[in-house]
Amino acid sequence: MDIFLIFLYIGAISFGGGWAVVGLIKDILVSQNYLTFNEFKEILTAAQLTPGPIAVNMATYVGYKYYGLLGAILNTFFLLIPPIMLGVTYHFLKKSIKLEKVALINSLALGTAVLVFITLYSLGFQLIINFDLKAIIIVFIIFALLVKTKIDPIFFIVVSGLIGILIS
Amino acid sequence: MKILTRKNKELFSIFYIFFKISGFTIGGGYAMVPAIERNLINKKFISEKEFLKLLSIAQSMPGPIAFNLSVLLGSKLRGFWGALFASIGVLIPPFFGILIVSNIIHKYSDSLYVQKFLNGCYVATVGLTLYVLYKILKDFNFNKFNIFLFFVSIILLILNRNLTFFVFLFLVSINYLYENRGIK
Repeated sequence: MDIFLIFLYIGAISFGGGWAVVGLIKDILVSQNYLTFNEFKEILTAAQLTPGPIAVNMATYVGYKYYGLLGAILNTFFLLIPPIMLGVTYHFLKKSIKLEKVALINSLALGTAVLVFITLYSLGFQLIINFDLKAIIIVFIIFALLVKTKIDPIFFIVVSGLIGILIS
Repeated sequence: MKILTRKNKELFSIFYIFFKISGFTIGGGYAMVPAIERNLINKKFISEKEFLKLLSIAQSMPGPIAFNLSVLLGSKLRGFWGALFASIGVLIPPFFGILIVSNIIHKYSDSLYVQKFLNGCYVATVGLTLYVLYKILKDFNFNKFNIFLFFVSIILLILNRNLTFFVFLFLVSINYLYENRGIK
């Protein structure tokens, strides 16, 4: 039951795309021993090589690990309860509530930036405490190429995996 | 009876469009948005202006953006059943995709090569996250107030991750009220 509540909570906070909550998913699930760090890496990689939002991918996998196929369906559903509820609420209240759109979008972008920073901190911390200089250099090369070119991110994931086999 | 059949056909085509886009777009929710846009606008399901309006609503809701967008578009096209068919179409490919691929990886996870490959992919993920952060911050209008909020929130969350929901809610509300001061 715990994992369903964890993913309900994650669903409520996943504003601005999956990267905002990947760090949170790692911190909660790995620190409470629902997943090992190696399993987390497996799902993270699988999620990027398969279609679909990354938070949905993680919910499906973790649900499957603990409660089988039904668990996978239920856990995916729990992740999606908050957006569904908020969507329904918005539908009924849109005439009575007036929100300033620009201010709302700016504020959500600020909140998302904080969450993505925490994801970066949470994922990158591993490389820094290990003093993995080669990895840190690769991070910045990939970042620079993503900024400068239009190459699909999946290319970097696969190439970086192959580099991992060759040099580590 | 004929009307019912036509309606069913439309629902099925909504399901199929979202299923196809979801199944053939790898790289998460944001990669799917332009594909959804192209498909629906080309097929004259919706105008560009309406699409952009729904996109901005989808972005200000919690949850995966591609899922939110499918619910909003489906419900715009065919009400409740449209939303249901569109969202199921979006969810089926990632559901089976992740189960199949992660089970294959897991099966060979004892191999040293697979471990090294996963470590390499993990490094790329960190670079990708850095890029996502850069894209958000690049377009952001900074002022003294929100820079202050940004750093205070980050320090609080590094110290205690359990506060995430409250810090997020507080940060967004305070910044919203600050930007709206003077209005009214």
